[in-house]
Amino acid sequence: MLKKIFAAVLTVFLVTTAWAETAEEKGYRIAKEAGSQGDGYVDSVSKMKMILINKKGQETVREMKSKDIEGTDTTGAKGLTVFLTPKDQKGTALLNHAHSDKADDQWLYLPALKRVKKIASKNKSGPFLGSEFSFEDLGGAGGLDKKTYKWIKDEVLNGRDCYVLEAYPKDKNSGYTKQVSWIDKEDFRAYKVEYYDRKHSHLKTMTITEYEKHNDKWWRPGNMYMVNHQTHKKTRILFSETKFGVGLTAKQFTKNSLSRAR
Amino acid sequence: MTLLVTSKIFNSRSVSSFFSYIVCIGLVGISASTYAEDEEYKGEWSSLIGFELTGYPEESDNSDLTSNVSTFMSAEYYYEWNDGFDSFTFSPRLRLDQNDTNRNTFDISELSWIHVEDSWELRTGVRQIAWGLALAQSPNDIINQTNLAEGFSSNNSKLGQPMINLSLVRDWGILDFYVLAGFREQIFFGTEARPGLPIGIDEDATTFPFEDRFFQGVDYAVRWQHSWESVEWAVSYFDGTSRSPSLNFNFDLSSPGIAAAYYPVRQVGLEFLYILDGWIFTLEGAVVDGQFQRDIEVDTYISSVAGIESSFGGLFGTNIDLILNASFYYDQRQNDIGTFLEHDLIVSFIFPFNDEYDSRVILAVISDVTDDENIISLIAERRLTDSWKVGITAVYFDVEQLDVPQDIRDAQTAEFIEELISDFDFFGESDLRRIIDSFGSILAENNFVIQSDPVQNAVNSIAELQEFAFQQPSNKLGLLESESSITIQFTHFF
Repeated sequence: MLKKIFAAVLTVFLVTTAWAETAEEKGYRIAKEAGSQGDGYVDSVSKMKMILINKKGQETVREMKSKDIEGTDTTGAKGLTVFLTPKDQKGTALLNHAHSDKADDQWLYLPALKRVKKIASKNKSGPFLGSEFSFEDLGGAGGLDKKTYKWIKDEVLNGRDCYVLEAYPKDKNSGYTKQVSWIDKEDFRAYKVEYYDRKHSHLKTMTITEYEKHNDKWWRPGNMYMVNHQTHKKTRILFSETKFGVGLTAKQFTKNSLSRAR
Repeated sequence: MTLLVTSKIFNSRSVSSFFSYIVCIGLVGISASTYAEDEEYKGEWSSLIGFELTGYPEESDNSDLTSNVSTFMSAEYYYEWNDGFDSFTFSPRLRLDQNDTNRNTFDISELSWIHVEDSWELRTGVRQIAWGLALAQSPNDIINQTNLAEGFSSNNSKLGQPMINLSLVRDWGILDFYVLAGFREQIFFGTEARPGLPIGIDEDATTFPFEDRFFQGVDYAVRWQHSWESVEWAVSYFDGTSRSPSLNFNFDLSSPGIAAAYYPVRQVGLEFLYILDGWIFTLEGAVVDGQFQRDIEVDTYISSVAGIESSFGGLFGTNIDLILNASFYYDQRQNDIGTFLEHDLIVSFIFPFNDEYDSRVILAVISDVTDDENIISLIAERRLTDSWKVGITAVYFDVEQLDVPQDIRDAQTAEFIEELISDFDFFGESDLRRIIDSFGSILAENNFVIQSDPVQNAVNSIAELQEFAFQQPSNKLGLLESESSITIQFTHFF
């Protein structure tokens, strides 16, 4: 899941400084290079804490643990996420096999029933686990060519020189018509994303902070904060204990692994 | 822990169960010693306790109860070592019921050690294995015994099954071998509660006609599962004692009861799942050979379910999704089937609210397509706090009243009894003779008028037994016509 989230964030934002291009070509080239930016991480593990904040400021915390393995030439990336809290959902686990050419394969393990269930939802725009993030925001909407891009301008955000890039999802099932991103020029890290809904109104804003560099190669955000301007609800996602190259194998991402995941 | 294990692992008194119990004790030993040696101790407990209050709006013929309280507890201890490549799980469950002693059950759901290598896993101990694809009840799902004390749905709770399971993980799929030792007899609900059996299970009359009850054979199973593109499938084979007993009258007029008999069966199972554009199509079936019903062998039969499922996001501009599932059950035994899903359609509407409380509403309708029987259930649940969850379940039985004349229940004279007996067509000729003979002597002693209680009880019981299933096999749910209920359940998670 981590890899997908990161790729989604990166895909939209990375920018090159090519000259004789239209803003669209520039945007696409940026996004294309961005897509390969995270490559070579092999595998990773991480803990994720999702804090849902309602209108009154009351918080609900969901914690989960995930591990990923990078795709190869023949197979897509694989991910396994286990829910730790809320306590009534402890042990619920999600296995994802990503595919570039078709919908991902997903299986859910339901601990109360001791059963693995295949799931197939086309709905990527709905809330992910009651949060202000949708599955689409977390990387579930596929790769580079699922959107078109346009570089807009350069702008300083919180003292950092940033590119401002717009992305337009092609998929009619997407919840958005436009995503606007601020990416710093130095390390191509996204610091802010604005989401516009199907009615073209400003729906949400994500602020990304606490970047940390892992293995001297990969920047990963530590804190992603999403504000919904229409419902006034907020969600904060915190990552911790992230490790790369821990020696996972594809056989640790089977239905067997799913049913004993902790 | 040892105390718990020894107190009552199995309600079966078999010798092979005893072996399983030795395995369990051994596993407890392993975990204890590992605890002592391992510096990176990574064990954790999680548990829950729940309370259920059920109200019955309608009067029942079988019971005076208008409400019932039930409480359940379960816990799980999980410990892993060797970077998670070895793990130990212990999970006991307990249910206590206000009115039905049969529902007071303690079970070890899991007590197992799993060892994982790159291309295989070995799982030893008491475990839970769910085969099949159907939401409600899978015809293939044969490894663990059903616990009716937890309700009708076979998914609710299964009894722990002792086993050794080797699982191979290869490019050509996952291949599981099972050796199942220690047969678990089915836990039924009793006569006192609602729904209740009209006459109780006579546990002493349980038989294993082709095996020694105290040393049942070991059961074997194998299952291969694999996927290709958008298709997933599984093929399984089971050779062992049937989990569904053949039920018959115990022919004991002084304490009438139902006798369960467990026959050996062979079962081939097929499961098939296909995904197309957000729709999931499933088809599964079991071919069963050797099953008995009322102690008469049933021809080899097929039991199957076909299902279709899809989900729809963001209903009416809200965050509420709809997961729609329709499953059609067909069992070749038709009215001779032991359960009620012989030719039934189940349609479920699941509405996840996608909110911070994980609120959910489920509407499910079970319809018998040939007889006019419907069960409608409505479930609503949500989390109240971090550790409390509440659920409300309403079940409505829309079935026809059984056509059993009231005067049979009030039978006082010899004629009635003789009529009653001659109506019995489920007994063999010789059984009928035995009953008439035993009745005959009683009738003679009583000068053709029945007064003594034991006989009256027997007559009532037989009438109810008749009502239970045998006279109108297509109308089994008639038994439950007055059992509509509403339950509120609170669960606390630790």
